[in-house]
Amino acid sequence: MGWPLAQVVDSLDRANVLFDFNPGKQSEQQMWLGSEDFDYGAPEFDNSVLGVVEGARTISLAFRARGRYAESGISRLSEILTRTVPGYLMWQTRKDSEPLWFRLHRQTSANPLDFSTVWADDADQSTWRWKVDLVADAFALGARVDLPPMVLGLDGRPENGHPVEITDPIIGDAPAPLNLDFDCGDVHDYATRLMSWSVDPFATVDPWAGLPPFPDISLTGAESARIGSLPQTPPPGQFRVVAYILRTSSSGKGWWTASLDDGYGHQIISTAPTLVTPAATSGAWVDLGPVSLPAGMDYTDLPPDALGEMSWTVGVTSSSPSVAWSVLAFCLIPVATATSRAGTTALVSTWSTWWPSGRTLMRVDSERSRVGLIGGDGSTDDGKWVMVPPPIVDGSFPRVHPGARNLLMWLSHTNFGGTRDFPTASGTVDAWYYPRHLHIGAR
Amino acid sequence: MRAPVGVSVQDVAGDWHRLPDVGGVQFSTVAPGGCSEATIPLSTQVLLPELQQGCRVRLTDGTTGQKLWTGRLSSPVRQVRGALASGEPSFEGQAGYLGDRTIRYTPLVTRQDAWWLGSTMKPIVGGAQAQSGQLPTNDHVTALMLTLPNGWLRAGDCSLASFHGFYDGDGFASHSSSSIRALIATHQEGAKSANKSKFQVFLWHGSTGGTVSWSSSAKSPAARVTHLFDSTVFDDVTIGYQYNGALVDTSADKTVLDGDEIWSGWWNLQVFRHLRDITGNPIPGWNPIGRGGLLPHEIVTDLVGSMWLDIAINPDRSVIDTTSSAIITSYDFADRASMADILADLNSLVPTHFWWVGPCEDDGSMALLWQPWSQGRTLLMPPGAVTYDEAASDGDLANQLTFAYTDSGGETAYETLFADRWTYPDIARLSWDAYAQVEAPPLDLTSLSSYAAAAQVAQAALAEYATSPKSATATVSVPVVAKGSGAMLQPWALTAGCMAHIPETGETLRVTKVDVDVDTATATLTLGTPRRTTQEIVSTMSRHRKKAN
Repeated sequence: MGWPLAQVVDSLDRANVLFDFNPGKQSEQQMWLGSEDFDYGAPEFDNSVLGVVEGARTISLAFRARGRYAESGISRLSEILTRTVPGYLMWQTRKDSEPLWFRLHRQTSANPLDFSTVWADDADQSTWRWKVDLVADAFALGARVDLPPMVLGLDGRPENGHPVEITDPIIGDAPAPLNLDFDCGDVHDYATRLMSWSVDPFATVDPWAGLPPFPDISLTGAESARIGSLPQTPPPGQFRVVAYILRTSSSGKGWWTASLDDGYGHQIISTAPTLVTPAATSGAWVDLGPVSLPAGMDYTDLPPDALGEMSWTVGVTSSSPSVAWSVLAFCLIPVATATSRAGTTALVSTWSTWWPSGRTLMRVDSERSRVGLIGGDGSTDDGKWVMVPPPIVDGSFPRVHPGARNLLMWLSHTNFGGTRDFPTASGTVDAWYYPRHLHIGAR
Repeated sequence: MRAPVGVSVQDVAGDWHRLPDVGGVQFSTVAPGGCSEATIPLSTQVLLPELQQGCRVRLTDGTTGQKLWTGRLSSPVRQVRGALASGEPSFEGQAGYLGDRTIRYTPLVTRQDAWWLGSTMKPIVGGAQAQSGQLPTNDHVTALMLTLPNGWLRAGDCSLASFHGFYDGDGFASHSSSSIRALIATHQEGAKSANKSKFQVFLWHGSTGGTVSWSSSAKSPAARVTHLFDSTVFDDVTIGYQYNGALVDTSADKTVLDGDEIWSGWWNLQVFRHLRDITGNPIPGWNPIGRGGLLPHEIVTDLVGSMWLDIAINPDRSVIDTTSSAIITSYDFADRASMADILADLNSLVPTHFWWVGPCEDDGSMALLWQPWSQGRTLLMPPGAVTYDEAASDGDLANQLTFAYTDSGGETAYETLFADRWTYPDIARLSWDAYAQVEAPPLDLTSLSSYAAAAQVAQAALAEYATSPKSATATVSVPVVAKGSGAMLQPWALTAGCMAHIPETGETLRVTKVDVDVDTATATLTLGTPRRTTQEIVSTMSRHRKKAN
């Protein structure tokens, strides 16, 4: 093994080395990195609403090979780089520095190697110099960082820890996908909504994203009810209103709206009517649509029933037939606020109706854009993937931003699939990420 | 700035996969319609699950998880080692699902040739004649004519014509029963000589010969007659005359047939199928006789009730507005037509509303909406975003239109329709003279099945001539304020089927198409509807109103 370390590996964890550019001093050195013409490239920037930099960078490596080794080595490298998923270039500058991984892109040309740079310096012992351009993701990945375990209630209520903040500082130069293992215990859900958002370091993250417990609101037919004020004033910006709605009639549907009233019967802000059609007598988090809150409003700590005070109202504008409902919770979910570092991500996972019994672990693998299930079938967490069809995944995977306060919220049971009451359980969450690095400097 | 739009696909095994974010995604919604086409470059760089034509695809908003567009892979794909081998796949939106299934949709049949003369149920006997012929009193009318010669009185029962079944039962095991609910016709009787006649008209309803006595008063001059059927089973009916029930009203004149030849004519026949509710059951107590036609929402509801099982419409989520009171006097798609064809045709008749297929649910079902434009949400366009298309000049306006049709006598007849300036305010600009008449080019609609069918097409064409259309394009790359709620809607979350308020002109136009470009987070809105050409109207609407061959 020679330094710097430059290897093509097939994965981040438990990697197999597919190709070694710098195998190091052996009895007869066959291949080694040249110090010249090395360029780890600059990323192409492509801003996104979610604050993610897309694009690619091109890494140039020059290496030398003894003539006998050159042919087999070069053809092997060529084969690897034209694979659909070529793997990662692992780079470690010195023995005491941290390794980095560049996620490689597939080479589109048949032979990515530049033959114009091939030369022989010695007629007897020919040494060939090769230069290869490797196209990779814009940012290099650092070694896996595990965050301390968190406990997250399943109901979105502030007193159950929502939103939960990731207190460890985030390493890196760019937002990184956040991977999560939810230990759901024996609580199974057909659908979950996982939100992540990042705010400026000094922004308030008081629990305005939920409401204190309020008495269950029951509505019949076209009715609405005041549900009171928020514990804190949200920052100005765009939010989505979600409410946990339970239909207590056996059938029927209704058009729901949520509004901010001035206390004199005027709706200052209201959502467009949303059709709510539960399949059964069951509850679910329902997305009632977007609201935009202007700056300069304060509507906190108001008695919920005092006239002349601003308060939130939720209700049914029309229902058919006359349907009885209960509202068990109400939240404002940020989408883009004045203190947002980047747009909120929302990940909605909807499972098929079958779910294994016993303790299950739901894994959100943001690095690979996958959601899966571990355990189940009466077993404890044995690490085996059970045969559960993957869920339908809508939205974006969660991210953590360096230099920001990173928040998470998990709403369980976000579609009407079964006959469940309001979810009150909580689960532990193991979270980890691979930091995104711009430079390969000594780490 | 890239919009946070995620792509998920369903593989051949039915499992969903969220694809890594790919560039170059574009998608569109149209109103009427819903999700239309999309461009999703499935790069050869990306390892894909196993796909095939028809696999479902959905685009979702990464900030909210909302579904923005759903559809399916509409071209064949070839994969090598997990990646797309070559070529750009094409995608079809949710609205395209309505084109999958075709039926013969005939809820209100007005074609005279849908009646079979001289049914075998009550054979013609004794020299009586059942034929399609001119009415003795008016040679412009061709009626189903029963002619009874002298002395026929003692020959027996006799049928004039039968209507056998509605077409749309075929292929629908779940909703195969389609019964006749009502019959409306114009009826006249007479005799060659001055003798008064009074027939006993009978309807034989159903294959078991259940009979319904109809009014038997003398019908001269011509009169509209109606009958509402109670049975929800029978889909055939025979008009005839019954010997035992006293072919001639003996109390009035016992000898009327002695030495005379009498006739009975039927035309303008409307046969109503018993319409269904949204889940496919006949609507209890439904009675179209007072209106003499169908209401638009009745047709939409009946369509959903007829087809929801076959094309995965969810009746629970479907919302059908009932406010339009337009009366549709003929609705008869004797050729096979898809739900999309039928709804497009209905929209030509009822331009105040539009149909919409929302993004599909997780179980694959979709909601069908029939909504008035006026109830849609209004977007406030950012200043400078809107560019008007070149306006159609007022020189194209007209307030009257003459069309040729085939009358019930098989002859070519002409009628002129007039547009009034209260219904169509644009034509007030035609002239200072309120009575000025500006003619549109005449229409030849003689190939259509009936006067009612031709008149519907002509009226839609006149409406087009009598309005000065406005259309515009808006390019939006910042959040747009929704009037009323004040919510800021992101460009990629905008859909057609709402209204757009243009600050520069104060006008509010319909948003008929929205194209979203994900790479630039920009929406291009098509506002208003460009004027359709007469050819477009006639080809859309007359396709299924043609005479049967």
